[in-house]
Amino acid sequence: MLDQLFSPHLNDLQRGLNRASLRQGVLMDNLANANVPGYKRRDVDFNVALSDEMGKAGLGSARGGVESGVTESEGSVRVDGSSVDPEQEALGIAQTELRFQTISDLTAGYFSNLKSAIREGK
Amino acid sequence: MSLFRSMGLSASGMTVERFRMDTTANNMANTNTVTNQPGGTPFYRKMVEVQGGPDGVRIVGLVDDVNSVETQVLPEQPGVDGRGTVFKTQINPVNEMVDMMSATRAYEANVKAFNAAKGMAKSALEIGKV
Repeated sequence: MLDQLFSPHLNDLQRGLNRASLRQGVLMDNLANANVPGYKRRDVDFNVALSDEMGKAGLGSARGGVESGVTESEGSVRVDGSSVDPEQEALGIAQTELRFQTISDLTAGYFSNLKSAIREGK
Repeated sequence: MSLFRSMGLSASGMTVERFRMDTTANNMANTNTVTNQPGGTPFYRKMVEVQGGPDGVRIVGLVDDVNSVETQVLPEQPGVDGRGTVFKTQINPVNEMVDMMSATRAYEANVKAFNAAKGMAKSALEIGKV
């Protein structure tokens, strides 16, 4: 019953929000560790990872696939071996913020449609 | 998502300007560097080589300013050749200050451009909202 009430798109939106907040956390972790010698920056590839998640929609929990998408960089950009470029991290954080906002707006829109249907359009 | 692209271009500019700032600070720090050990290599003033293109700017490397080292003979020092010859780095503080200011201003300009692109993307999310 509830499965029919909440469309499968809601799961996609939930995965998207999870993915965006995971990436935000990982990028902020990178910034916090920017001056640690030998630190390798980590990232979540949003596009590839999300399409993977979309492909197996309905299989497993949304949380299950989330941790697997974190990758560690191999190269380093600094003499001390750290691979963090603060400006690139700030760029990623801004992108992720906008992406989160987009998906969260879509989610809010979905629920407001649902609410409108419950109230019979009133 | 081409607004993300313009944000990326600004970020590459910021990286380059920060590196220029590092280089200038290092030059200033070496104002009085004297090389007097046998086999020692003098410190040359460093300049940043930057390559631009459609995908932003990137740092190619550091170039030595070959005119920034002068040879002096100080007989009381052992010197690089045992006869008191030393290499003294000559840094012009005025040039370094100007480089520093230009790096600061260019960094600020990139931050402004970055924030403008972000603001555009944010207002795009407001389209169609009541």
